[in-house]
Parts: sequence; C-alpha cells; structure tokens
Amino acid sequence: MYFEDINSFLDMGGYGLYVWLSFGSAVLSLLVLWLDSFFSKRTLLTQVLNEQARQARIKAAAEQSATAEQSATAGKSAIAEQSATAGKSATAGKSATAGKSATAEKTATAEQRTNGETI
Amino acid sequence: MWKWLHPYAKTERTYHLCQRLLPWFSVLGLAVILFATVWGLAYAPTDYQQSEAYRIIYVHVPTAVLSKSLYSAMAVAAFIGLVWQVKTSFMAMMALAPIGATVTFISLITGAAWGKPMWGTWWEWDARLTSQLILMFLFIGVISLYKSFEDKQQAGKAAGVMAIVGVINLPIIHYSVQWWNTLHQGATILKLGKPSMPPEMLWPLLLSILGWALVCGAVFLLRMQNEILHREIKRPWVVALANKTSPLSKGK
Repeated sequence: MYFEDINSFLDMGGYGLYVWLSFGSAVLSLLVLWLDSFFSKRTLLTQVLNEQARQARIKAAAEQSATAEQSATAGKSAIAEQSATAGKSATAGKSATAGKSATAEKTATAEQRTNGETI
Repeated sequence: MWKWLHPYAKTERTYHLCQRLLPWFSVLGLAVILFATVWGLAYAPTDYQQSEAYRIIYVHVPTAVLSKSLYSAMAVAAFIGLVWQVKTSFMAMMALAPIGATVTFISLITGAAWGKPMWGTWWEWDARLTSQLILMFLFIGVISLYKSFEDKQQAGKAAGVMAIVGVINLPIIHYSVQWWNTLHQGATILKLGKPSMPPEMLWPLLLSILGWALVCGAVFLLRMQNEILHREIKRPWVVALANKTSPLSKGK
C-alpha cells in the first residue's frame, strides 16, 4: 500500500474532499442508473401479468353475461311456446340475436388475446 | 457473411442472449472496476506535480473515454436502424443513451472536482469542458426526442437522425485540447508514440477503463431487455416469460 495508515489514505494529501467527491458521485450516479434499469424491468414484467389478469377478468365477465343472457332467453322462449303460436316467431328471433351477441363477444375477447401475435 | 447476425434482429433471441451475457458482464465488470480503483487509489505511486489529487484520473478518464465510445456506439446503432430499418437497432440506441448521459455526467462532475484544486475553479467555459457538456445535452436530446413521439418507429428515426448529426461533436471533443488554448491538459494515452505515464500508473488506469466498459455493457444488456419488453409487451413470449420469472406469479 502506498499510504502509511488509513487517515493519510482518507486525507489524500489534503485533497481528500475532491478525490472522495469524485468517486462518491461516480458510485452514486452508477447506482441510480442501475437501480432504474433493474426496477423498470420488474415493473414491465409486473405490468404484463396485470394485463394478463385484466384480460382474464374481461373474458370471464363476458362469458358470464353471455350465459346469463342465454338462460334468460331460454326461459322466455319456454314460456312463449306454452302461450299462443302467433308469438312464436318473434321470440325465436330474439333468442337467435341473443346467441349471436354472445358469440360476438367471445370472438372479440379472443381477438384481444391474440392481438399481439398478429402485429 | 453477416448471416449469423440476422436472427438477432428477432427480439426474443436478443432478449435471451442479453440474459445469458448479463451475469458475466456484471460480475466481471464489478470485479475489474473494484480491483482497478483500489489499485489506483491506494497502491499507485503519487504524482510529482499534483500529489494525490491526480487519483481522480481513475474515474475521470474511464468515464470520459466511455462517454465518447458510447456516443459512437449509439450513432452506429442509429445508422443501422435508419439504413436497414432494423427496429432492434433503435432499441439498442435507446438502451445506450441513458448510460451515455450518466457516464458523461460523471466525467463532468469528476472533472469539476479535479478542476477546483488544480485550476482554482469548478467550471470554465473552455473548449474541452463545453464540448463535453454539449455531449451530455446530445444524449439527453436523443432521449427526449424519442420520448416525445407516440409512434416508436417514427421516434427511432427522428432520434436516430439527431444521434448521427451529433457525431460531429466527437472529433471536436477529442481535438479541442489541440485546436484551442484550454485549461485542460493534452492527451496522455491516445496519442502518437508512448503514453506519457509510468506503467505503474498506467495499468490501473487501463484496467479501470476496461472495468467501466464492462459495467456499462452490463447496464446496456439490462436496458436492452427493458426496451424489448416495453415494445413487445403484448407478445405471447413476453407473457410466458413474465409468468415464468416474476415473483408475483409464485403465489398463484
């Protein structure tokens, strides 16, 4: 070692302030850069998981509302069948459109999921 | 001839390459930087003129050298991105810019801390110092220009042009100590003939340059991964990767 003891090492021949200021600011700047890089990677990966969970929620909600609609129209048409034959064609049309909208929602969520692949 | 390079235009492969190289660069870089800095600070002989203040050289010169190298690397990435329309290249450019800005900032700070005891001033508007300050502004300019566009392909082009135009500053920095009367001393290592430094001072300096380069490389790899993740956030491979690596998914 060039210096005799730790005090003369810290003193740096009277230039201690400037030498340690340089090395200190260098270490600090590098640390900030590294922390920023490290944590933005973690943030990005968490963001991906959050988006995945959100898509899953959207899909589940869409399916739930679709099945609810289907059962509702099914119940309605059953009642309609029991009643007069004149009303039959109208309810049949209704249940058909309900089924259509459910499948449309399903395909919409499927598209959202595969969106990344096609770009 | 360049065919081996082509798969790396595909971001997924580049990401995994970065992942493989990252620990090597980090560990090796930190080890070399620590070794060289301790050598420079505690074991290298003193300077006959500046006494111990000269030891700032072991952080000032590596960062100053790297600031220019990083700018060149960024400009090359910008050029490749503009000419061959490689989007991975723009990602590399944007991964390099913040590192360059930080390293340039360190070189300016350490330069100021060295200038105060030696020249009697923290700052002087002289050629070398001013051109180095402009270099930092160029790095910051490239980053801000990129961030100001919503369309990232457009952003890459605009920032790329700025990065290439800024290359004009590099020879100005390098030759500023010759072209103008300046407080800053002339070249010590990179000049014709022998470097004007004894080997027991020169070796820790060269090693610290290597160490800083490796550490910057490690940060580059990390930031390159971030750029890729950011751009490809909806791709299935990114989703699969997030599920595999994130600590959040462990609970599920």
